[in-house]
Amino acid sequence: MPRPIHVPRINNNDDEVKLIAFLVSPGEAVKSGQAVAEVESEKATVVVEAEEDGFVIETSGTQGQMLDVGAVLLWLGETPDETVPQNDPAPQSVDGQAGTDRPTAGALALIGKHGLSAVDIPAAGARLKVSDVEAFLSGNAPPAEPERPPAPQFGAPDAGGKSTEFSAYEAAMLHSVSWHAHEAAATYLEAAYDEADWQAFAQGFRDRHGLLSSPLVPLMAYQLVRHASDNPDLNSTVHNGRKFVYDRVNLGFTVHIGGKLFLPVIHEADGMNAREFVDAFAGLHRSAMRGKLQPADMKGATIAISSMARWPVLRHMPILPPFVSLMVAHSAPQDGRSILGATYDHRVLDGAAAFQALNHLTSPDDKEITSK
Amino acid sequence: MDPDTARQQIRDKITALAESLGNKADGLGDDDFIPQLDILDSAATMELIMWLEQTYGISIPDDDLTIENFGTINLIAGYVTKNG
Amino acid sequence: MVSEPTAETRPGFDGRSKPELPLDPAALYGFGHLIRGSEETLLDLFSKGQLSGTTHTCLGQELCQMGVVRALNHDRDAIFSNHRNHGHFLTYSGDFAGLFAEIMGREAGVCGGHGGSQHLAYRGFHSSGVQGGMTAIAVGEALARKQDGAGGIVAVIIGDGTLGQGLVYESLNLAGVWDVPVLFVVENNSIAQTTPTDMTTAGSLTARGEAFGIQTWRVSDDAPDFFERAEAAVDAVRKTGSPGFLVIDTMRLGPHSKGDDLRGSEEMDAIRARDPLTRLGERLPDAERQAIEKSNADFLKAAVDEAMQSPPAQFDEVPLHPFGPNQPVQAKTVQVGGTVRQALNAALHRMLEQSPEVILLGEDLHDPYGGAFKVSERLTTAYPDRVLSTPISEAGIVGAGIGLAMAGKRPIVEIMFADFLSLGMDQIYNHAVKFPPLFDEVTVPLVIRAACGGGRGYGATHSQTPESLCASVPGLTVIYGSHRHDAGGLLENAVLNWDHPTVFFEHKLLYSRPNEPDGYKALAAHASDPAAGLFPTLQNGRDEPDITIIAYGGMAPLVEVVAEELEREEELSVEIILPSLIAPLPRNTLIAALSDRPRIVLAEESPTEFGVGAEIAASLAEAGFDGHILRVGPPPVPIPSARSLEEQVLPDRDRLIAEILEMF
Repeated sequence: MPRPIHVPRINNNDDEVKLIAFLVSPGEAVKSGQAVAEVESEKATVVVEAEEDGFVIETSGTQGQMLDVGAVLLWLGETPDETVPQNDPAPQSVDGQAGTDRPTAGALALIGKHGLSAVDIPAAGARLKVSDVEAFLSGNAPPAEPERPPAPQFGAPDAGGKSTEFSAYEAAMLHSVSWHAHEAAATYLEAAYDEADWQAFAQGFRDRHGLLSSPLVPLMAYQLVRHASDNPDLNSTVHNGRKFVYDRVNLGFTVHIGGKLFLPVIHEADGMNAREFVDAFAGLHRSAMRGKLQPADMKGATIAISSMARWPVLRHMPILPPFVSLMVAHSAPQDGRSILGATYDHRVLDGAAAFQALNHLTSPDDKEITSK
Repeated sequence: MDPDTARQQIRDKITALAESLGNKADGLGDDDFIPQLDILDSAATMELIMWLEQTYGISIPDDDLTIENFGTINLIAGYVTKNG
Repeated sequence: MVSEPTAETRPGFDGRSKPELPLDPAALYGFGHLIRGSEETLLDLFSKGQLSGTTHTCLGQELCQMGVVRALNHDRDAIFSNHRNHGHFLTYSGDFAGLFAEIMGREAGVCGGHGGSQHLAYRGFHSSGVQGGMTAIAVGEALARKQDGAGGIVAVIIGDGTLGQGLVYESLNLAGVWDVPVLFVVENNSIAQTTPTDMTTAGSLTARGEAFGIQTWRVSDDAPDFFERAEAAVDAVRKTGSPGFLVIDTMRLGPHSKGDDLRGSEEMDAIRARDPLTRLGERLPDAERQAIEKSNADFLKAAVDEAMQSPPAQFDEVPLHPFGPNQPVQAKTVQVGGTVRQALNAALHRMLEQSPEVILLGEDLHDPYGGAFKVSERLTTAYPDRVLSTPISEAGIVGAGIGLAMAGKRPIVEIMFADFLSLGMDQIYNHAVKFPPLFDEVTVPLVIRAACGGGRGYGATHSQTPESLCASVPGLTVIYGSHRHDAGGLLENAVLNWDHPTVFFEHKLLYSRPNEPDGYKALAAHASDPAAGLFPTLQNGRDEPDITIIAYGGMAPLVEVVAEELEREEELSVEIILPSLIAPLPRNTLIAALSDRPRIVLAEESPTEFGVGAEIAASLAEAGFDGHILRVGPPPVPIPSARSLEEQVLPDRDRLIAEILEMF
């Protein structure tokens, strides 16, 4: 049975010593008291001696290596062919504990960043690695950034206005129709009417102004602008729990081009006369068709209108643009009857207010349109 | 540019646009006043203008968009021939 | 001769110079009566709700309190007093209005209202409210007097009740061993707050001085030659340059503080009958005595009026910390090439050679031993007067360090094992950090070096690092560098370029490590972080790391191994942040560098509960950090001795890696 010679402690506080040299080699016979190795600390050099006769079975360490005090320096046997006992269990590696099939942490970080699942990604080797994830990503359309949960109030009105406390009555409605006050409570109603008066009025306007086409929808939109200018509640929204009344009327209208829907905005429409408004409407429409709309042309709507009459659609329910409380929906007539619809934010407008606005648009108001 | 060819192309385009809106434009005369026929809505009128620009390689300023320039097929053909 | 004192003829009583009190019954009675009047005035103001907090009067002990202080007439004489200090203070300063204003919490108070009744400072006079806490500080100051050789002695005054405090005996021993000119004065009023002396003090009072080989006297304040004998004790200490121990028998006429006197009326009658001040007054002709008393009453009334005119003390702005604005940091040549131990030893040699104010105290420093960890090797040989091997008295040598610092030295105190800092904690917690903010002219540039940390199997009382304990002491600077810092530079900055009490931790396992920067760079120090430039935070430089490990001291080599493994095996980019300044925390420096990191691990060798990592994590969270944060450290259990058990308690490589991988 071989017996160990241990690395000696030279100083109280040095846990490692440097191996200068072994003075004997495996297989060599040594005598008790014979120097077998030389080690040193910062303080001193020490010669390690054999405490008994024997044969060197094995040495541990190379010249210059730092050895732990108390570790085995050298095994000495009674014969040169004994074997060293192997009873030190090898320390378990972390990989061993965690399993080698686990993806690397770097791969997991990348997977998490892209909202992927490790099971979907093939591994080239035993472990899923960063290179595997990158290969998977480049082979697939890059997935969109994972959706962030919406902020309590996302964005803010894009047009100037005054923020005021809701009146007690207004606040009561707001709280009765919305379970979280930061999203519009979109609601819809509609009114039926005969469009003949509007058609006649629009044709008359076209002929008086020498226009190439009949501006029915622009004129209806203009009447809406005039009405909203006189009724600020229609031109309001909710921001941070407070009522936000816009200073000016900015009218957004839908334009459908090449399979895409746009909402260009006629800014400060309440300052225009009917002709200026119709021209602005046509100008933005044309910019849209040319693909020339600027981001600023599509921001800041305070009220809106949509027409699907030309398809012909008989009724539609528009989605409210951000921070808009009323959007009027114009559709195609059928059998002399037309439907005018309105999507409205019930936090700001009740059904009566929305209907009154809608009803006001069912016939042209010559005085209102031409007063400016 | 041969004015007859232009007239025929323009007539075909207007007819097609009108039909896409469900309106009949058969027998549209070269001097018929198109706005009063109510066969094109404003979007279709815009589409026609865009088509003219592309087809005849011209650019039509907003100020030129009048019935004096675009009221009839003859007026349109004259405008594109003159500016083309 | 002041036979008929009036306000006009009391040049010494204006608080600008020490009152002159000749050995004349009229002068002594006049001043003693003035002290009694002051105490009675304070009791009156207290009953009218005009005092901040409470007050401890020296009623009955006026002559006793005058006796020694009266004789301390050298410019460099210093006095350390206690909670019952008004007689000492007034005899030393003559600043009656300043005392009243101070105790009333007024701006014109002698300490601007910061100190109050128990914490007074005036030139060489300092008092504090922890019983016996000043004794070691006095010995340190006396050591400075001896070294400077410019005269002046130190008196430290305690009551007999304080003889129950251990530090008193450490101080007596240190004074004897160092043979320094300090006079211990025990005012024996036979009662400790409410407890009679026979219940608190065993054996002989005078034997306590004699046992340490110290010249010892006992006098009574009702002895006819009391003042002469008190002066003789002062003169003996001054003449011999050696310590003295003076017991003065006296009697307290009033309660300890307010309304806490349990003594019976018979006993009180006896005390009143003995009252040496009244007896002294009776030696004067009635007319003279009455004139003195009348003049004193007028004088005190004027002093109270003056104090009353001062507004209540107010901070212009409550200070965020006691360190003042940052000074520009001088660039240093980094010394590299050796081990951490060699770097520290070289810095000590350099400082002792270049700065005569530097003094090193510690246990077993003498050559050839050179301290338990050999950091102080070859120093006692080179600087035998300024590198002192001390008794085993941690509280005593920390206190002495404070006294040396107050006397203008730059003391370094070596604590063999950081575990023993707790023995000196009162000196740190109640004295070193409190004097500079309370007392205008006091700085305490004291550095306490402490070998710390586990990993050596030394067991529960020789393996800890009390950095959390120290960092939670308001005003204490805590430095704990790594082998990547310029170890010698940190120590030099702490000793020479930072004027505040500092604990400087040195991990035992780092001593033998090469002291090399290895590519680390210092984070830009935020201007609002005190001392962040002097004691930098290092960063190993990783762009967009997946994980950031914050560690300090002995954890540095371990987290380097962990980072290397995580980068190799787990394909992570691992940032290492190594602060050297624990307190004041370089808060904004860390926030600026780390607030956008996805994952931060705080690897600690000390228990995580209520630890430094918790403070860093809280600071990041308050600044809006929204990544994943994790602390890895030991549970709140003693560090076991067996290496195998110790490895299970202290965080090691495997545990760190396993816990970090849980974040992914």
